[in-house]
Amino acid sequence: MKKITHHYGVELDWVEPLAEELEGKVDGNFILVPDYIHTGDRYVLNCDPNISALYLDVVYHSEIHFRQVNKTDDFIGVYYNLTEGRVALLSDDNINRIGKWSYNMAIIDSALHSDYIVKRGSETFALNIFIKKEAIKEYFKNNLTQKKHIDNILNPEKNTIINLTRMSNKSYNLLMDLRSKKVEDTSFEFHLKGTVLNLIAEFIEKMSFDEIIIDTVNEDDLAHIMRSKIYLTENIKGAFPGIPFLAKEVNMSVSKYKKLFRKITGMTPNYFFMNSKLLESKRLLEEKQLTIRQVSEKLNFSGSSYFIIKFKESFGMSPKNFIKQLQ
Amino acid sequence: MMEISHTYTLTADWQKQFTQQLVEEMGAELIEEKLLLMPKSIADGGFYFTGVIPGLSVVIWDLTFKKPIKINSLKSDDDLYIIHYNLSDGINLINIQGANDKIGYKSNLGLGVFDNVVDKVFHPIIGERIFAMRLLVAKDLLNFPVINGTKNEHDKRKAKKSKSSVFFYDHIDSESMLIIHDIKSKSFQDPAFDIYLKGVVFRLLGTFIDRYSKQAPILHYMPEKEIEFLNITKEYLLDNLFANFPGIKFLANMANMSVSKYTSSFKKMFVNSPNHFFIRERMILANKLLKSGSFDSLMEVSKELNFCTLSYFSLKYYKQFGRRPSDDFVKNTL
Repeated sequence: MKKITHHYGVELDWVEPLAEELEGKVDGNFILVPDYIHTGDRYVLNCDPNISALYLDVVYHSEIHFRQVNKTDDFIGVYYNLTEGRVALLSDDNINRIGKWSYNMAIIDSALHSDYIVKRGSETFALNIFIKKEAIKEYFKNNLTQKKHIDNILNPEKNTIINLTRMSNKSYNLLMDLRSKKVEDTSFEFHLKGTVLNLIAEFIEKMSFDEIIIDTVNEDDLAHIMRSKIYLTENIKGAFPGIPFLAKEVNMSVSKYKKLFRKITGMTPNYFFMNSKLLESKRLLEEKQLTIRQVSEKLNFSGSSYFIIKFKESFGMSPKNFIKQLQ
Repeated sequence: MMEISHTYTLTADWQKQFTQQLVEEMGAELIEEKLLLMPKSIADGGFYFTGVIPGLSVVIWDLTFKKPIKINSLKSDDDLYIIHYNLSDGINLINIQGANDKIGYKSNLGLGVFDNVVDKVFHPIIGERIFAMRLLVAKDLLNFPVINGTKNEHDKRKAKKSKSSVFFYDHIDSESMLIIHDIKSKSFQDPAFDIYLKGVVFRLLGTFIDRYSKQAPILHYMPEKEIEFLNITKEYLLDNLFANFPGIKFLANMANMSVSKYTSSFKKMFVNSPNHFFIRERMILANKLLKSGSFDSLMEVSKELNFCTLSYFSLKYYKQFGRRPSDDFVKNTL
């Protein structure tokens, strides 16, 4: 196992040392890393004086232990992580599983040390955003009710735990949109900046309406709900199996299941299912292989007119208009 | 009719002038230097301005006018492009150098790109919600071959050419539409509106660059299966240039489509109708045969290509090339 100690920050003075530790080099915005460590892109961008971002779309080929020891404590790290594979975040002797199907968003004060261990063969898609604390306070200055809440998060003495949560569905969609862009295009810089700002806005909004649950749920419960989510995404082509069935699958009562699902994903099981279907339909339409009717049949909508209505509700335009104006 | 005049500049100067004019003359209300609410007697809603980075700023119009109004954007010397996205409910008129152009979602050309060196007049319609976004982009930022390239693409994109400036209209692509749709549903007063808007501007600009720097001329969506079938019929036509046109019914049948579907798909893919396509290819062949020097008379060529009369052949040939067959004919000298 390779062990690396590094630091992050809004100023990009951490890029060179990190590249060196990873036996690679810096080329423009990219950190080039040899293939036996990982393949894929590692991209750094300074978005504005208060915000920087690290974009990762890589497959690890060796096991790495990242230890983050920051040199400054003037920023907050917001980590979006959609890893498929085995990744763990260690803090205060707690081992937390990170990734697409467990906690996929972490908010960590730069004053804290953390350990991040990634196993060989993990596919990581992640976006790490570093924001100056001053800037965050600025965003909330008009919002007195939330000020205390924010101060709590920003205070390193009070806040010694790492905040783990699940990202909102909207954030997930933003990240997926970003992933479909080509990193080597000149426009990527704009896409990345835009996505970063939109994610921050989404974060602030959720904070303001107190929708971010920064308390931790029982480990087992989380695992169960995730299993249920995986089941739903795998059976996206079928009909909705019904809540009693889903609850039974994970040995919970219907009411407990409903409550937990809502708390963890922010939506009802049925809504989640429909939403996944619609996203899949959008992806299929973008591929330009199937007609609207075929898509609606493939995803088991009861009729194409129902599909069209749902699509329009969700994306604000009809599927026909959508495909007509694909570039 | 009320009239407002303003110019666009790279800095926030124009905005100050514009708001001052509205506040003083019409009693509009300015909130935090960014949001300008129109008085209720003139319109519901207002404008939202914000600078994103040096050389990039954005204006949102979200209002419903109650009285007719004319908004003049006068030209200025600052080097910038204005990218205009319009998702209004009705059709608004934009007047550029005397030409009346409708711009609006329903007229399907919601995207407009203008150079700052031309005057524009905007006539919003009354009683319907106008939702438009204007990105003011410094020319240095869009310094890629795109904009220069689009000049040549003018006819395709319904553009009007003026001597030195760029402007053209296009459909808003689906991706941009989705991005704007999200912001349309937000309120100016949302806590994160400003930062959200900035993100949207970056993403729109990225999408804009993607779209116009690749210049992929795929203007229509078509499933691959259809393309395959259309190509089969095309090959068939090319193989049978010496015969008569087989008829649309026959071709449609071959492509497993209905007649109307077939004609419209064919037109999308090959620009011409099947018959025109066939005649054109035949004429190109005729031209080759005429110049080949292996025929004794025009009659022979016409017969070879299975035209019923020589005069019909001459007519079609003239239509295609603007010359008579005899002009191109090389007689067999053997």
